Order: sequence, then structure tokens, then C-alpha cells
Amino acid sequence: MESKKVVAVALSVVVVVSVVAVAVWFAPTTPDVRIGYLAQDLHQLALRVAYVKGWFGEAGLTVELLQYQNGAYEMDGFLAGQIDMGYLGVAPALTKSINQNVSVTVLATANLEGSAIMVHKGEYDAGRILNLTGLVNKTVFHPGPSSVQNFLLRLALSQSGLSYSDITAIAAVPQNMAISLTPDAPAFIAWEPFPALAEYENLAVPILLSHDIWPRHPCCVLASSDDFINRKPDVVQKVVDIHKRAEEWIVANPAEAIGIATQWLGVNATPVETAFNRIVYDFNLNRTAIEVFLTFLIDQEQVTMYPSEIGPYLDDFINATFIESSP
Amino acid sequence: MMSGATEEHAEMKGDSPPRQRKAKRQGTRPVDILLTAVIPLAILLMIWQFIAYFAQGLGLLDIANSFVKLVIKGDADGTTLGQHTAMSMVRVTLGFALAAATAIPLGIAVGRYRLVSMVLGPVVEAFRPLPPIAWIPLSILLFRSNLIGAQVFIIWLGAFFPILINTTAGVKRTSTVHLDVASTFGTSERQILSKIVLPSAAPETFAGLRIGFGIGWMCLVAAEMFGSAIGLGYLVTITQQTGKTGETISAMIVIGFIGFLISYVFLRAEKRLLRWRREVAV
Repeated sequence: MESKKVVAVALSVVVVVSVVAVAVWFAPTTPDVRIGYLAQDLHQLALRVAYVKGWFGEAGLTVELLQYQNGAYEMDGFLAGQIDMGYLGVAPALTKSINQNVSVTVLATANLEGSAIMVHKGEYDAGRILNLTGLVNKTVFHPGPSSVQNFLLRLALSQSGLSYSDITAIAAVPQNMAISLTPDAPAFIAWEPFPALAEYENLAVPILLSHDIWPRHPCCVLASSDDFINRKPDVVQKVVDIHKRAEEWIVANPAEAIGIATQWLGVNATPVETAFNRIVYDFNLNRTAIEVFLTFLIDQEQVTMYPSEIGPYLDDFINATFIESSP
Repeated sequence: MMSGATEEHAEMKGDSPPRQRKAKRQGTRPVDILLTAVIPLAILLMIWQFIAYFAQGLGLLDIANSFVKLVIKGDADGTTLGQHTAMSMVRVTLGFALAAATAIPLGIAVGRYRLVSMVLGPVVEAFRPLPPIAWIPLSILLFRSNLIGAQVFIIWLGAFFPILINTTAGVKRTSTVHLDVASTFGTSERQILSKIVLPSAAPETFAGLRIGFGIGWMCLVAAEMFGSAIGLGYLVTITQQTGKTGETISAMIVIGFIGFLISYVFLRAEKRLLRWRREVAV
């Protein structure tokens, strides 16, 4: 009996010591900055380039990257304090910051354009759908009601003399859109690289690039939580500097950038190149474009705001100081 | 025969029939209403208040406002809460009906026939641990543009296994004495199934249906998260995406309430239809 007790105590000690040793050995180190980004989003190539090139380490920053399924979840990440900064669409950044009081500030643009309306290849080849008028009474997949793509779809329909009620819009995950296309559900709108991938796989054909709908429209941005800006403005400045450097590098070295993107996405280089050429990599903030988008969200009742509140809100929501201070 | 069974049941529970009749004559007492309705409702409201406050700093009044807005005006696309609910009910009813239609016959076969059990038992056990949500990516590939089909498939998966397992267990628990007597008197297999096995397995099958519907209903949110434009699960997702937490909670409360209501209806029906079995209890 006594020996059993000794064995039990010894085992307990071993277990406790092991747990403590593991905890000490793998003690989590707090990074200088935690950055959120979206899964498989070529719009956010600047982050990947900076990471691959080791520019964060070069700037003396330890970084933790956290991947999110979409911008809305990333905004929840901001709200929950999981991330300090993040690459995400301007649409969820606006919607969630207003509706849920998530205190974030947009510091730079990550990209412009880079979305497309795609149609079922069979329907296009048969000549049944060559433009938006062919989509009347048909299903069109889109990423969600507050997305930039939803706005572009409504705008494109309006430009073609149609309205949103002329189609059946169904929210879906971009990864599933191309495989879901049929003659009755023949179209989708999504961000790159999904349109280019669908085209490469002979599933769909682009009938409108977002450039044709709204040239240089805003899409993804680099944002930071207000708390982090207040606590660590020096780190924020460094990240913005790296972002600007990455954006400039992408524009100056497209072939290498496509190589990094191809490796990152794990797909063939051809669709990545197609997608890359449809995206404008630019870090400059365009307040007017963001205001247009905010007005749309108010009009669609996605957010509630009086017209007089738009100006003061955007004064807080957009901060160009950091990007303007970048070398 | 039936009343005898009821009396036997009552005696086993310790309530004599006269006492039961007396309680029935007295009707529902205020204290019962307090304990079974008022206090649980108050606790529920407190829990939702707690969740809403800590999630988004909302109060019950905010949720009530969102609820009324959803009922009258609808969401951003003008689809009302009633329309979302109706569509969800259609999907879940389809999935559940399919699950019942497939799981009950299969459960009887697995429970009654050794060969079927030997062959299909391991197959069922290999698929059973897979969570319905894990099937979502495959269901999209399987059903492609048939989004309703993919959603019904996920609900079917959720409901199928509880019904199957319970039916199988019920069939296997059929009294061997009854089966032996039936065999001795030369009863046909069809009669054995309809007169002995099915009635004997009915309580377990019913419990399986109740649990299956509950799980199917839970799968609804997951099923409607992909490729939808209407439905309570879609409403939860889309209001989360746009940061309208009050509407998210309103939709969740409706999902919970309908689930509760359906479960209650099942229990009452079970109690009424199978009152000859003492195992049934609410």
C-alpha cells in the first residue's frame, strides 16, 4: 500500500514537472504587433511580400499573423483584442466600426479594383449571356450585403438600366461560387484570384471587371485599432512604412511579386498573373471614394448615420498622417 | 388493456390512480406556472441580457427593437423574420422527413436482421462520428448549384443518425418472449414486424425522431450559412457580418424558441401516443 502511494506521488510529481517544463519551454512570446489578414486574398499581397522578404525583422519588429475567413470576422478580431492591425476590405471596416463601435482607423490603401463579374462559360459561349441584361431573373452569387462586390454589382446593374431586384442575389463563399454556376445560377462577383481561377478552370468568363464599373474603386485597406495607435504609434509607423515599401516593390517588380503570390496561393502561375494584372496596388488613401461607399451603405440601411455625421466620422476613420510620414 | 398499463405505470411512479385523478381535477396550480414558466422565462431573459450586454453592450430593449424591426420591416433586403422562419422550416422539414424515411426502415433492418447488422453496422459507425458541419465543403461539391439540396443534405445528416441508432436499439430490445410466442404460433415476418417489433421499438424511435429533429434544427444555421438569401441561419450570418448584433440575437432567440416548441410538441405527442410505455417521461 505504502509503495503504491510512493508511486502515485512520484507520478504526480513527474506530471506536474512535465507540464511546468512544457509551459516554460513553449512560453508564448508577445509579438510587437499582431496583424490580421484574409485567407487567399491577392489584394493583400503587400503583407505577404513584406513577410517573405523579412522586412518586419529588418525593422526590428516581431510579428504574429492571424488569418481570418472574411473582413467581418477580422473586425470581430479587432473587437476581441486578438489583433492590433489588419488588412481587410474597406466595406466590413466601415460597417462593423459603425454598427459595433469597433474603434479602428484606416491608415493606407492596400489595393484598388481587383474584382469581376463572371458568368457560366457555357452560357457565355452559347451567346445567351454576354452582358448584365442576360442575368435578368437569374441567380447571381455575391460575398455578402456589405461587401464592396455587392456595391459594385448594384452599381453595374444600375449602369445597365437594371435594378438589384431584377436578379436573385445569393450570398456565398467566394471559394464555392465558380463550382456552383449553372444556366439558372450563371453568375458571380468576387475578388481576385477567384474570378481568374474560375476563368483558368474554364468554368466562367468575365463580363465586367470592376475597373469597368468604377475605375480605381477602393477595396482593401490597412487599418489599426485606435488603442494600438495610441499605445504604440512608433510600431504603427514602422508597419505603415513596410506596407508602403511592399506596395512600391510590387509595382516595380511584378514578375517577382507574381512568383511570391503563386507560392503563397499554391495555384498555377497563369491565373495568378491574370488576377495580378486586374489589381491596382496603391497605398494612397482616397477619402472621396470611401465616402461614396459609406453613402451607399447608409442608403442600403446597412448602417445608420445622418448625412451631417459622415464628415466628422470619416475624419476619425481615416488617418493619412502615417502614410504621408513614410519615407 | 391500455388503462391497465397506465395504472401499472402510475403505481410504479408512486402515484396511485385516484391521486392522479385528483391532481388532474385540481388543474394547473399557480405554483406550477411559476416554476415551469415564469421562473425559467426570467432566467432565460437574464441569460440573454447577460450575453447581449457582454457581447455588445446591448439591453433587452435593444433586442426587442431589433426583433420588432425584423418582424415588421425585415432585414436590409426587406425579408421579414416570418419569411426567414418559413424558409428554414421548409428546409428542416424536408431534411427531417428524408431522415425519418431513410433511418427508420434501415434501423429496423439493422436491429432485426443479423446479416444486415453485420454488414451495415460498421458502415454506419464509420460515418456516424463525422459532424454534419464537416460535410459542408463536400456537400457543395456533391450538389453544386443545388443549394437547397446541399442544405437539406446537411440537415438530413444531423437527423439521420439519432433516428437510426434509436430505432435499431428499440428493435433489438424487443422482448424475445413475444417473438418466440409469435414464432410458435406461426406468425408471418410481416405480422411480427407490424404487430410486435414496431410497437415495441416505438418509444425509442420516437425519442430518436425528437433528438434527430433537434440536431437537424441545430444544423440549420450551419446549412444556411452557405449559398443562401433567406433563412434564419442566413439571417444570423448576415447580421453578424454587418455588425447588427441585436438582429443576430433576435434570430438566435427565434431559432431557440422554435427548437424548444418543436421539442415540446414531440414530447407531448410521445407522451400521448405512447402512454402505454412507462419509459416515456417528459
